Amino acid sequence: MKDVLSKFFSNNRAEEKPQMKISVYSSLDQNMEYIKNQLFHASDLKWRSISFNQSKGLIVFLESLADLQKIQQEIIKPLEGKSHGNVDKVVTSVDITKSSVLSEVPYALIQGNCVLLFEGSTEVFIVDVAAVNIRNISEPVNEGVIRGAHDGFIEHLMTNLYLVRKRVENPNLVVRYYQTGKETKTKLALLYMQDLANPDLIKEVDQRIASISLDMTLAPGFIAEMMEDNPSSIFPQILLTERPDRTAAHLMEGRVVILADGDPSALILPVTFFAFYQSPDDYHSRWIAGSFVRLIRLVSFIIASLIPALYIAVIGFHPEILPENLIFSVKSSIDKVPFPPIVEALIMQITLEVLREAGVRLPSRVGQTIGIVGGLVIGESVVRAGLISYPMVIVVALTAISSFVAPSNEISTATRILGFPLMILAALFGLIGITFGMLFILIHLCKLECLGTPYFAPVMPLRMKDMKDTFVRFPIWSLNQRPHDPHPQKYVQERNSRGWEQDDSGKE
Amino acid sequence: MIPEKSKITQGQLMFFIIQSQVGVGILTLPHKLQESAKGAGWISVLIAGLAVQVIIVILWALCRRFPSDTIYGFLPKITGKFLGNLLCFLYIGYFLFSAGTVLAKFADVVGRWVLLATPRWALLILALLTCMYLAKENLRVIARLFVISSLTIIVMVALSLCGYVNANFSYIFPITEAGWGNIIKSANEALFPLVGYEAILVLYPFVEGKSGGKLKAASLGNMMITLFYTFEVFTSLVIFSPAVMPAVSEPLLYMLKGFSFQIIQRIDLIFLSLWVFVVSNAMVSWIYMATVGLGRFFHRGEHKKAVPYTICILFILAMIAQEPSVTDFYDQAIKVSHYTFVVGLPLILLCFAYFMRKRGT
Repeated sequence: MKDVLSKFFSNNRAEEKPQMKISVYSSLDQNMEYIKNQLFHASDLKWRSISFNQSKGLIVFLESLADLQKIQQEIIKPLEGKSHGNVDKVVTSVDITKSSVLSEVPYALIQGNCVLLFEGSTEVFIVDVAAVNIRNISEPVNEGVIRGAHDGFIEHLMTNLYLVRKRVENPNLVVRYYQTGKETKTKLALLYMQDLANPDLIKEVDQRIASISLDMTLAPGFIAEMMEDNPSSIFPQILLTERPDRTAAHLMEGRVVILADGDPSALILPVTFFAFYQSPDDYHSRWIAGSFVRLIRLVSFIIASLIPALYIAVIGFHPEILPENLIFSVKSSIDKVPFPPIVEALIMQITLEVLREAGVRLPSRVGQTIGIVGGLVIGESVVRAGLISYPMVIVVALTAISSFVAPSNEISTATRILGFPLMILAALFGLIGITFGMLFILIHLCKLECLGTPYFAPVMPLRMKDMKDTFVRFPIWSLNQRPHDPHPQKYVQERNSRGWEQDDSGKE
Repeated sequence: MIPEKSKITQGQLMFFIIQSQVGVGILTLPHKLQESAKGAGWISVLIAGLAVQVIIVILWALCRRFPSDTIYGFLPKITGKFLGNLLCFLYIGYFLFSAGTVLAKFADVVGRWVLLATPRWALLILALLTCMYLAKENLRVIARLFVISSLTIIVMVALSLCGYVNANFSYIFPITEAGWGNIIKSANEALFPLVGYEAILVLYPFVEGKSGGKLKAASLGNMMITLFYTFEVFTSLVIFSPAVMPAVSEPLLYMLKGFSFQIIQRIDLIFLSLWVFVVSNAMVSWIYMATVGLGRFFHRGEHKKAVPYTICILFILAMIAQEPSVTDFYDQAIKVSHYTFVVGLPLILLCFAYFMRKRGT
């Protein structure tokens, strides 16, 4: 069993040293006693006696993990029917291994195997009868699309691999298993295209996964945090998605995907800033519409991070920048408010964050309350009470809506946090403060790297060819090359698909 | 010798030169030129650009002899260790002083135009912290940002184009009103806003490719900036009548202040905000040049360790320069040192290196 494991988890570093290698006793009771002790007499440890080849035997399993149906169908039935012969020939399970090391048995049991022990034999049979309890494949709630595939990853690694393999039917798609979490033994799968992904990238990812050393890997967020180059930046550098089509598309661009058992999100790396603003929808709609929508999304990034700051700067420092009639209407609302614009903005932004968080936590039945409390009471009454001005409410509402446009939740949160320092700078230095703030953010984006890929590519460093699929989406037939940022092995991805066009012209 | 992470491409060199050259001078240049060259101020800028081109060739010829050394590396090789190191420190001083001057002028303009009540030190700290954040990065990161910041120049040109609504081309005629002598003399004046091309002295070994390409990149950068300056000066000259000009110290800003779109009344504020980008980049460029030297002498080549105290020096330099008398002194000092360090010394060094047959490997 151990060598099977180590073959599977080829890069599993520093495996727990087995305390002692105890070989299987020839006495059945002694063996059983040992197993029971090792599992501390767990209540879900079950066994059933059988007889085969005229000797007494036991089937031991954990009823919580094993599929009872399978045990009955694949082990008990054949054994009862034949009554003598070779055990591994009689049992009809797919995966059956022999072992003579008793100390391995508890580990086999907790992985959902069942163990066959026989009186007088110093070998045990480990049969895989793990039960599979999974939910249905359904569309991810927070990454819905209008057109296109509506399936999503679930909490079962094998199903997720199936979804990806089904989309990329290519022997070059490599799957490598890892195990992280010393105590929880969480299974990870690393996926990449052998003929596309850069070998240096894979080596680096392999190294970083291998160096993860913690007791429990609960969420892919753990893995992401362990692997990011700049964990203290507010920009997410690893794309999390629950969509298999998005995952497959990134695989085909030469990126690397990490799937974890027990979680429906795939980690995609290395990615650039703009990957967070791409959605499969862009490619399903016509290219002009797709480009338009993507532009809207990027503009909404700027709106979400900049508009409150701009408002504060204009009202506090340079109201003369506004046209005259606008100044009067804005001023008349602001003059009633006792606070400076920055305080107004902070109050409203924090209220908004509180509402958002409450909206996530509240059960859907009371969800409507949030709408009423948030929308009516806060939106309308604060203005009536003279605490906040109307324009401020508009600005904050606009900010909130724009920040939720982003197809990735991580970047949308980052955007809103980004607004706060800009607001403070605007309150201190006006427009000049905002300019410096933006310069600072640009420098930061310029500095960030994700596994050797510049984060703000293809803008910094500038690459015109990759611009085709950055701010806008050019028609698919003009995207002849893969994006350069993950340094794929092959660049060409499209060849003259509309070749028939030229033929037409010569025809009469 | 030069770490792989600091290598930049020739295109990046071009933008680096562009960003180093655009500085504070652009705002006041038309005013100064009009004083001496009248309507032909824009010709002076072109002449200055040509002069800069000649200097770039000299600097390039010098650098080419030592393809893997910065100026701090080859000075001791040409003149011997003691004199060379002394000269290196003078160059560091010159770069720092240039940065300080840019910073002081920047604070003056922003203090006068936008943030009237904000204390100077606060503004300086804001600018310096941002510059520090960039300057301590390796050259590649700096160059990446410079490339993208150059977009602001295009927007600045577009904004100035609005000015042509009330252009009056008769203002620049007769072109030779001031006489050719004055035009050439004021080219001298136009040379200083164009400084920054010295960056090639430090950057040369960091750039990939053959020496010819490097010269091309630097020249192209200089050409673009000369054209940009010429355009801005020309615009100012056709918009403000010769009678008004002496009263307007920053013609470009005044010009934009007069225009308004439907939703934005003060275009000059937008222009200034973009200009802040460009000026910060110019400062970073000077700081980088100085800290490379300091890093070489004091920190085993790690320039980023020199950045914090460099920032402090600049802060003090810019705080001193509040009185007009001090500012004038700064201007004079810059002019003298520019001719010494960027024109005179390299020429002497080049001859020296040529006759002594000194070459880097």
